[in-house]
Amino acid sequence: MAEMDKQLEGTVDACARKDYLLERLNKRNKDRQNYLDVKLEQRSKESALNEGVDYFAQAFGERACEIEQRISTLQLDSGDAPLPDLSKLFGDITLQIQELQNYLTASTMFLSDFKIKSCQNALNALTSACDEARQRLMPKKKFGFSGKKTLVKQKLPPALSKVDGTPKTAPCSSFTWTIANRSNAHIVLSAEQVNGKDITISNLHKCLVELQGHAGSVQISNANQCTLLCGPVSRSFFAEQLNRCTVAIACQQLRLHSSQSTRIYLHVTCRAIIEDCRQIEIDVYNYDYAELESDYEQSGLNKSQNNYTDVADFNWLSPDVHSPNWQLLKDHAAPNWSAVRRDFLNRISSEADVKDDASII
Amino acid sequence: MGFLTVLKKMRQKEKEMRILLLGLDNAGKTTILKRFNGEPIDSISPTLGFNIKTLEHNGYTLNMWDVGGQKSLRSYWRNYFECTDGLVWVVDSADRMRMESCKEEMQVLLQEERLAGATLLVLCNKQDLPGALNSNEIKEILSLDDITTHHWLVVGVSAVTGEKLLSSMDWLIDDIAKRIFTLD
Repeated sequence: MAEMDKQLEGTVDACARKDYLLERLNKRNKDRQNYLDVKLEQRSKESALNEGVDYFAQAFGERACEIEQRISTLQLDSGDAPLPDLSKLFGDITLQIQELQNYLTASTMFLSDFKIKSCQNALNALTSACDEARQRLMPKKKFGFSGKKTLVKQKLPPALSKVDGTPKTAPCSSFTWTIANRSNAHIVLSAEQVNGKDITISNLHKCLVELQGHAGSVQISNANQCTLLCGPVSRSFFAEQLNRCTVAIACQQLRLHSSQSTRIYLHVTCRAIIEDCRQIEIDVYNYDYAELESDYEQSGLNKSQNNYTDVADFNWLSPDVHSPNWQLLKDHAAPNWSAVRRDFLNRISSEADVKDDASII
Repeated sequence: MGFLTVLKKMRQKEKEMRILLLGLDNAGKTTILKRFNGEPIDSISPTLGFNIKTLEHNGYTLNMWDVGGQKSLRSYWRNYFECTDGLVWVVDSADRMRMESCKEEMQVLLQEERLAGATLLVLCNKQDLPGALNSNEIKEILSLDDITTHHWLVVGVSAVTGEKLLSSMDWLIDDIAKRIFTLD
């Protein structure tokens, strides 16, 4: 009996221990789950706080709104008399916009394309509103080029040079062409006018231009049926919109744009390129005059290096097929430049005679 | 730690920057790049396409992209905008004839969304030439004071003599580094 009692007691004891153990395990499991839940919640909160799309939209909206208000209050204030330091205020606002722009740029990684675009639009609107207010409240001096004036005065009619002689001088940064707006003229610039300088030429029609000496660079824009004879140029020759022209030039680099039916007698030490050109004919440089050797020396060009056969066409990138836009002249007698000059002068004088006759009649 | 933070940390470790050199043709972009990289500059011809150079400077790895400036290549510039940290706009200071088109091309770039975060460095190149405009005059012509969307600096440099080239690049790198690599 006593043994049975002992046994029973043992089972009861074991049961109690089992219950206790189960309870403890359950409790621990619950604790663990709670802990995980809390952690999970915390983590999601953290990341959402900084990088959530919703958070971004809210923060961006608030800041944009604030900037907008600042700009509009500025505009209201403008009615009253003296204002605080406007440039500082605008600087502040610009800075705020810039910060917002940075924020947007930094957040592009988790934003949709549409969202980025709309935010960018909002920013652009803010910038332009700010600019507009700035323009209205503190107008700015405008910078612009003043009218084109020619430097070659010796051939202008006397009435015109008188106007030019008035003390009204253009600002130093404004641009003036060396030669501009001439037709049927023989224009010669001497070595003193050319040496080491940047020569700019525009709007010529049926002219013969001779640049003696060695220029630093030569730029031509818009010439029709002209002839240009030029000594060695230290740096680049840049031409655009040449039509039916003839050019003799030695230079380090030649760039020809938007031109057609033009023949070039070329010495180029680096490389020639053409772009948007048609019917360009290239031949070797044959212009010669007494001081050519010394001009070569002073320009720094290497006389023995001439890459005139290697022209790069930016509109023709196939290496196997030759560009249809330019070709080397073959079996063609080199022109005699003094004969060209003589013919030109004869033509001009005869045309002038015809004109004179017409005016007499 | 979010995805963005991971990416930024990765970039910070590499200390890499992407710098785009743009400007009209004959501004001297390739010359500046070669000068900066210590290569000879006496036989440079107009760039047909682009050059890329990766170089180490002040502990940063710089990926420099030099894209040709001829008219027909300008439409391809936008292919290089992505992920650009710094934009170097090179101006031929002696080319008075094309200052207006230089200004127009630059303003198109500044409105570009993908360059919105980039720092702008305007290099007025060829200061060694007698007819060159100085950096103040170019600042006026390009209306740089009106730029509010980018950090910018204008410097007169000469790629031939190397004058002020390094110091202006240092400014660009510093400005980018402040923006990208200091987050907190």
